Amino acid sequence: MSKNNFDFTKAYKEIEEINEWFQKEEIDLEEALEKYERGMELIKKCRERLEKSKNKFKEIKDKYKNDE
Amino acid sequence: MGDYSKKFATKLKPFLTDKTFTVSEFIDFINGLLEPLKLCKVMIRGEIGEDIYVNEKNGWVIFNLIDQEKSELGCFGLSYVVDRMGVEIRPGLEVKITGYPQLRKKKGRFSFQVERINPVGEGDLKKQFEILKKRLDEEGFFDPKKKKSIPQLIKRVGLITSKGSDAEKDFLTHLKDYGFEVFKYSSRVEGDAAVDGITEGIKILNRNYSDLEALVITRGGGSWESLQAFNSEELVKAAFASRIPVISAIGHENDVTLLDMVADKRVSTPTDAGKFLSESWEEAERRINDSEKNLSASIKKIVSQMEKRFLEQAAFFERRIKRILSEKEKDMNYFLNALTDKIERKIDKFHSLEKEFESQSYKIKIEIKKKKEKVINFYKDLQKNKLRWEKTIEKYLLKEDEKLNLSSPDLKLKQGYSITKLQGKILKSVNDLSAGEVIETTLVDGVVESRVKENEQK
Repeated sequence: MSKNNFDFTKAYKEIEEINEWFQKEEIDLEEALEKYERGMELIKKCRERLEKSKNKFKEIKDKYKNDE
Repeated sequence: MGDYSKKFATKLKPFLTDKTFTVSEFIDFINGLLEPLKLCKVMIRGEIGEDIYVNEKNGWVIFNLIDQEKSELGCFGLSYVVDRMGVEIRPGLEVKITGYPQLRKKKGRFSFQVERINPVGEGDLKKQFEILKKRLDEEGFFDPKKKKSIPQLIKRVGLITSKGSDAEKDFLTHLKDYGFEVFKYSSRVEGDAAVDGITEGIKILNRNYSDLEALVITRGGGSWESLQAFNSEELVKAAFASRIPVISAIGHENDVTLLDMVADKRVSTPTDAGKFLSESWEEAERRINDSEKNLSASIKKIVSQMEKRFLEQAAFFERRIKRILSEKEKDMNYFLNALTDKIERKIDKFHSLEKEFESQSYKIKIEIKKKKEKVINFYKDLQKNKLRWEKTIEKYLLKEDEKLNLSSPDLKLKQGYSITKLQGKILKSVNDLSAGEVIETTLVDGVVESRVKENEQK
């Protein structure tokens, strides 16, 4: 269930932000470790999402077509 | 057709038996029979006849549609429908009309109600296209500022195309498996029916699937004529009104359709549309892979930097502590020296005092010794001259005794003096006495008691 709730776009954005954060001049080690851990966790989740994603299709019928 | 008519006649017969219509009823009945054609729409091709009547005041046009067999069909169209054609209506113009037949109550004439009219000849089509393009452009339908941006990492996509077509297959084949949810709306993509189908599709998807992130309208390439649906004003307006961003993918690179111009994003082919939607996901996948590498590299770099910094810091502290220690040692030595110095001075002073004391005590000892000797000598002298001392003392005592005897009251009494007392107290003044009091007078050989006669002060 939790996988379905996973917001890829949000996670991806956060990964990008973490990447950007690491470009800073002054970096606090403890914060860096926290960000690293968070980044790796998000990367793992995004990968899982990418690996398990088959496309789904649905046919839409309009009222005339339903009558056919 | 014959079988259908027979079946239909069989159904109608019971209704028509013994039935007499009024004129109005009959016209309504005929129009009722024509009703299915109104629902389905009919498309007719022909040439505009000589007589064209334009009623500008009420906004309608009447004309005849003719063909080579000299058949004529009376047509009625509202002015805006005719104007929308983009080409001015004129005799001899070859057109395709869409609409339905109707028996008009006034004058009982049969006429075709025109809902759409399009030129057929390539020259006219091009002309129509250019005029329509110019007008729609002027009305702001192609304004780049009004285009919606296509979101990145799209999940839910609407697809309007012909079911089972190569275009659909190409699009879906190139839409990589990133978990897209594709809502397929099937429509004709050629001919006039395509305009209705696609327009309806845009409306239905907007109404019932408003959370779609993009709407792909696609078909494969074809001749200029076959793409006319994508140059229709209705389709342009429907695409413009769509709240879901529209991606046009009409497989015809050279000729831009009006849909391409109004769409929020234009790609060349169905394949390109699939690739385009997959692009941001591929990019994300690449960046996620890169991010993993970058993050690992960054953290390694930071840790090694920190390590280096710690070592530098440790070395710095060591140097600093050493310096502080050596400074403290120096201070301590200085302090110790000063203290030693002070103590030594105190000891020296003590020694000198001690010496002084020793010399003083020696003097005192000598003094004591002298005093002692003096006392001893005195004592010896006292013992030695005991007799002489006794005689001297005796002589002295006798002398003193004599002095005492001379002052004794007995001697005074012997010499004739007496002592008078009142009630045991020696009298010294006549004022102490009153007449009649008894006084006692001591003489050398006894005591006389006498009473005072009178007292007189000298």
